[in-house]
Amino acid sequence: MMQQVIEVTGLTKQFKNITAVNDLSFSVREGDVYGFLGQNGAGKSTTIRMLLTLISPTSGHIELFGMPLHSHRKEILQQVGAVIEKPDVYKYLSAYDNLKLFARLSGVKVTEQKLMQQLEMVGLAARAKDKVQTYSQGMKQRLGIAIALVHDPKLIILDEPTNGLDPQGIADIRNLILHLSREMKKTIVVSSHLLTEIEQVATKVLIIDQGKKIIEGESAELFDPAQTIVELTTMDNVFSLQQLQQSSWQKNLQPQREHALLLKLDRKLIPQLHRDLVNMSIEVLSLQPRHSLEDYFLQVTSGNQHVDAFTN
Amino acid sequence: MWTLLQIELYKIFRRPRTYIAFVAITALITIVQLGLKVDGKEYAAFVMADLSNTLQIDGKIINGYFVCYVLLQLLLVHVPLLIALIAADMISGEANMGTLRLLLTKPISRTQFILAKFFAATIYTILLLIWLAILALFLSMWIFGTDDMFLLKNNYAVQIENADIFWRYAGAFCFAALAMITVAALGFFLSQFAENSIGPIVATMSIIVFFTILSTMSIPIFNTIKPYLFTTHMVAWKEFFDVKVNAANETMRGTIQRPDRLLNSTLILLAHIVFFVGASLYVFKKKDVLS
Amino acid sequence: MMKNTGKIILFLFAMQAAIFVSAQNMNVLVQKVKAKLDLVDDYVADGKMKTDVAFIKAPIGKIKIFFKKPNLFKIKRDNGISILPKGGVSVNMSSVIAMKDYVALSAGETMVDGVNTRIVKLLPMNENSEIILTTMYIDETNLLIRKAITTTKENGTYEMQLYYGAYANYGLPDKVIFAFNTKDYKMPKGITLEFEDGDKPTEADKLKGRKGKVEITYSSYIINKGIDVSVFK
Repeated sequence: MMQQVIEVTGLTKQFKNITAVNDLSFSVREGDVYGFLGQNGAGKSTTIRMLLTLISPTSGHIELFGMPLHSHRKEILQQVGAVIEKPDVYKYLSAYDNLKLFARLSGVKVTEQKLMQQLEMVGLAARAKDKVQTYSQGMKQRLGIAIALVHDPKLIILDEPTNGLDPQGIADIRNLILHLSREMKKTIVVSSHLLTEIEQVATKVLIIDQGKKIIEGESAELFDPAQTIVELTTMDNVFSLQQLQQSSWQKNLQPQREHALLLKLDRKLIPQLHRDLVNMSIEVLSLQPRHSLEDYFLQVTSGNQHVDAFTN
Repeated sequence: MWTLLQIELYKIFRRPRTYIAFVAITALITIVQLGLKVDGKEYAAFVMADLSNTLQIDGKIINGYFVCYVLLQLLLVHVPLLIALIAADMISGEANMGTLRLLLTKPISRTQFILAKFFAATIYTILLLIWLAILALFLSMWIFGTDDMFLLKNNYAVQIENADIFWRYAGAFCFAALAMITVAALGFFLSQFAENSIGPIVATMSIIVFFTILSTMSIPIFNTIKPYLFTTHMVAWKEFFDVKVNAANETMRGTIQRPDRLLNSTLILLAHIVFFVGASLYVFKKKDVLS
Repeated sequence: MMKNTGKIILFLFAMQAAIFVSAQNMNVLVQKVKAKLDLVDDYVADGKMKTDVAFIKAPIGKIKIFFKKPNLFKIKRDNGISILPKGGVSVNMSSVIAMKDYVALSAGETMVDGVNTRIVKLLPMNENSEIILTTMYIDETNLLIRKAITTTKENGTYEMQLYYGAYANYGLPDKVIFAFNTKDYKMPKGITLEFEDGDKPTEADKLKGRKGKVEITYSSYIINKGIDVSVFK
């Protein structure tokens, strides 16, 4: 059975009058490439900073590697490597000196050979001894990743790793993530506001908006057009739910909250559903299928709808 | 902890800004020494003007020990700024560079992190004072030679014998180091609250200037708080340069006029350091790192 | 009436004669003391000097004292700073007695440190003389000056007290205390860079009002061995 590497329950962060993260729960399995999606200001970075103990949660519980974060911080962080937003290092030092410094901080005994190997892996070996202030943004990003990996962590957290990169840089990061996941068997959490990037690497996705979870699910299912999430809004959701529970559509029902019912079904069955709803005297206000994850993402993150998600 | 301290010292001394203080001190001291070498007699005459009406003071007044005293009086007002340049940058500088968030995702406790940074700032301060001592004392001794010190206090003058001086300077520099570490602790504490260094540096200097004014002015309303201001006690190094006299008004070698004042000032400064560092720890442990 | 006038005139002559005789006697006494002091052409002495001024804390310092007839005198400290009253310290009587053209008058007798002394006042004849008046307390028996008070035009009044021991035969003292007036001083704070001291006065404050003193204690003399004049420059 795969171990849960990250288990987050009821996580909330309040900054004065702003609730940046609101009752968020999710989990990351060993080996996942976990895509963390949301618009700018959705609460992704805040959540990641809480995972890395940079910010204290207002409430909630975080466990990494089966250990509570607040009481096992040091042991947990020895297994975690992170790149947070734009990776900033000491510009007056070289890449080599920066890497050596952070390696020592991670508690790793380093040799010159090992350091150069790390730099080779991210394509910086040739500029190892140059001061970082002479580097491009892409090179700094790669150095950040090298620093995150130098102590061979089990979990890698990348917060907006492709920010400011050109298309080649973005492709390089994507390939690196895939390599780390597939060849090196790392668990990776990648946050981004770019759906296309997540789509290409993530095995599981969490979408958040205004600090709340919108949906969490396997990429294969979320991105599979054959498996559509349909949002149903009726005049009387309670009556409608009772009817559906007594019908053949009961197995398609998903956990719901607030103002909508959710059903997961093959897109081709939507017309049949529509007919059955009428037959069951359910007064339909709207029946919204998701055409693609991107449409769905834009729709739910720009509107007020917050639907319960399913987890595997 | 030792690794953290080594890393902090490495970062401090790889940064060009660190050496500004050493260069500034070197320039200041050598200029003053040059001036006193050229015009020392005139300076001595000016200082002794009031006494010269009644007394004739012969001997090498402008000697290495005297020059060092003059330098300390001048520099220990300005060195706090040089200390603040580094100490007030310790946390805010990391936040400004964006490295703070990376450092705190490493498996190091915040307590150890803060203490290592403070100790590194302390070591920098001590090294700066050592450099000051080498130039102000040893270089002055070499240029001007040594002799008795003749010092003017507010209400009296003190002559300290040549052989009775060096240990006093050892004590004075140790005390000055404590005073400067207090400044470092203040700057370090203020560094918690900003994400760029200018604010804490300016705030540190402003506090020192403000408190120094309160310490100096003879206004009764200030007298109640003066004993608690660290600036009042920072000048207590001068107590090393006052000697007890016996009933026949002869100076007693190896004595300090007011050792109680020295001890009291030491304790007050230590208390300030403990307070500032303790407060830094408290604030930093609760701090949300948003930079 | 003629008889009374005569008596008065006779009395006045007698007084004048007495004064003349007295002056002649004092001159003789002073000359005798001078002659004794003149036995010493030069000396180098080792000693310790202590400057005792109310507002100065000073240590005792080792010194060398040089003298060459008639009035070359120098105090050199073995390193260190020496504090002396302005105008220098002429802690030798030779320089006082070297004065020429004076009138010496007796002013009675008194005890100085348990020794009976004749009080002799020396008045310079020269109006331009720096010294206005010198009062000497002379031990007639031993021809030693025990005390002298000198008033000068420029440098006020100073007092010397001399104590003799092994070198009394040369008229050279073992100890001399030279006392002079000082005015208290207070330095502007900007120069001393001191904070206001609100504490109780120090020991130095308790000595305020006292005269300043320089006390020289002689440990040994090297007499009449010759000294180069360059020493006094």
